[in-house]
Amino acid sequence: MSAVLEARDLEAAVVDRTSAPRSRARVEGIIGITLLAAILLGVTMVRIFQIGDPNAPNLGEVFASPSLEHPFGTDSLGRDVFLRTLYAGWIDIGVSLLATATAVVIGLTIGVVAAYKRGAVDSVLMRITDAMIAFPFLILGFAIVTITGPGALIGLYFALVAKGWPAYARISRGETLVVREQDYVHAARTLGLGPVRILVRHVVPNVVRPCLVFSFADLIVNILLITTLSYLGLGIQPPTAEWGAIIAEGQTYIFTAWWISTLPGIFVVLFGVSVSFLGEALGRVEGSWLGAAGGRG
Amino acid sequence: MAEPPLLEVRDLRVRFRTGGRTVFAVNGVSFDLERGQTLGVVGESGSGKSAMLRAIAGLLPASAEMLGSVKFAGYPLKAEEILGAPDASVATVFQDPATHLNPVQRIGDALCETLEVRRESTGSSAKEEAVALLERVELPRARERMTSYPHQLSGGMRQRVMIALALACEPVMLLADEPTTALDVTTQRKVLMLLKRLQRETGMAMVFVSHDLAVVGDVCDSVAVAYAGHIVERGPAAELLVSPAHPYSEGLIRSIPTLDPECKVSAIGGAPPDMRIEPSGCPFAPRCPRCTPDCLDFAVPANDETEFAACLHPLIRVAT
Repeated sequence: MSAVLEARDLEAAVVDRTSAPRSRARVEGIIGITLLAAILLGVTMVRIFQIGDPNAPNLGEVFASPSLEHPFGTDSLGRDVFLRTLYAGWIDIGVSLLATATAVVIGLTIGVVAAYKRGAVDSVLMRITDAMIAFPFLILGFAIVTITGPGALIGLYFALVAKGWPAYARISRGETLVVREQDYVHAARTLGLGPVRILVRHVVPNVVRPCLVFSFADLIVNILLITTLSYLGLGIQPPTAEWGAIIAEGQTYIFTAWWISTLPGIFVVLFGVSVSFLGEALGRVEGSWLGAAGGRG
Repeated sequence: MAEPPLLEVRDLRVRFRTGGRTVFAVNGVSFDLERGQTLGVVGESGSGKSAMLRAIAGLLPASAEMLGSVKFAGYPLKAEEILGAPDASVATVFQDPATHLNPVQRIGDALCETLEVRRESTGSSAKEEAVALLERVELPRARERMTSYPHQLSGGMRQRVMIALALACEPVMLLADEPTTALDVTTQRKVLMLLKRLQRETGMAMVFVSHDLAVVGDVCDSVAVAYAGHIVERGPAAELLVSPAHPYSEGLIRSIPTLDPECKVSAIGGAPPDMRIEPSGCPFAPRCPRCTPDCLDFAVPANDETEFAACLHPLIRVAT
């Protein structure tokens, strides 16, 4: 009987020790998913069902402080700041998401090919990557936005992709250099698998994880870059609602109407936190695709 | 004309170049392997036995240089082609199953992928074949294991999966590089039994590299003793392991510990030669109790006979 008890205690102790970080990951994951779902739901609902007009001025209600009717108050033209923040999310999140995804695909392809081919291909691709990293983002952004014309979302998108892919090329190249010498890649060759299949099925799945983990952070950085470009007048043009533009407009009235800048700012922070929590939690869940234990060894 | 041997290795030499130095890993090895036969290659660490096998399998790193010829079923093939061709059917089982399985690929997916490439079987038929293969290698609860990742399996189970992957290629020849070294003794025995049974069933030939003489004696028809990149002795397993002719083989056999308290374990004095120096003379001469001055000029021939001892002063083989 006592032996049974001991065994059970031991088991419990083992479960306890492993479950501590896992339960924290779970809490972070739940917070992240809930927040993110709420934000995305609000943003898409407002956009799809065209609830309210974010640009319609209401001069009878300028600088109204936050209330039930206007949760984030109103701005200098009497526009509902909460509504504008939600509409802005569609553009900010959408462009950032698309640009990050494109950057991952381009960077991953270049990095994996460079590392797998080695030699001249590697040198040429990596020098191009280095050149892109060395290029100041703002100048790159100016150049691209000048070509496409200010206010065009496509310009913002290209600028973000151009800025984003070199990091993924670097990450995936380094990882591929390790993975291509792993025994299971050699083993796959002895089983008669072709080079393309080995790359796609055996190398990429082992390389993609650090890229995806990094992309969660990059998603937030890209939103800040959109905001920066818009702030400089190169991104989204007024009166279109955009997080950076809303915050910049509110700056002037920070002492008299603090909510115009502050509340959308907190909203952006919450979005960033939820994405980062989710990324962290996914990275820690054992056995998940992004999880640590699914990796080498 | 007689049918050519399944595997014909002639004067195989492998050198590794690292940091301006050359390591002479394999220095002229010849042997034949007939269909359905098992050749055991034994030797201590650094004797070039794994380099030999990897050269045949085409798995040498880029820093390696390979000379000599390897013919498979009479065809002069570069090693890459042996393994690349879907119908050539050579498969390899490695020492460390943990690192030779893709960590992010499910067992079932790995098997289906190999079946798809080697047997052009896809979808649910591939899945059924994969389950059948796992059952054949006696993996418990095979159907459930299809969705497991390698890290969820034990060492013995992983090795069974590797063997199943090798079987998926329907090999005529299996190259086994210390397949039981990373396993504990009881698992070792089970995996050996499995390999023996599969070999009987499929009639495949096998090159079995190991440093464990007991394992080799158990599995192999013929044994080759490797030392410093040479095969110093070859003979039928039953004879060679009981009554070796080469002084090195004898030393190797005498260094096996037994449970008999009367039996003294004796180590071979000295250390294997520095493989970075181009070999000349008998490589075992400095450690050999039977060494005479002419041994220092004796070049080990790349002998392809099935029974020989590369020694000027062999021990007399006792008939068994």
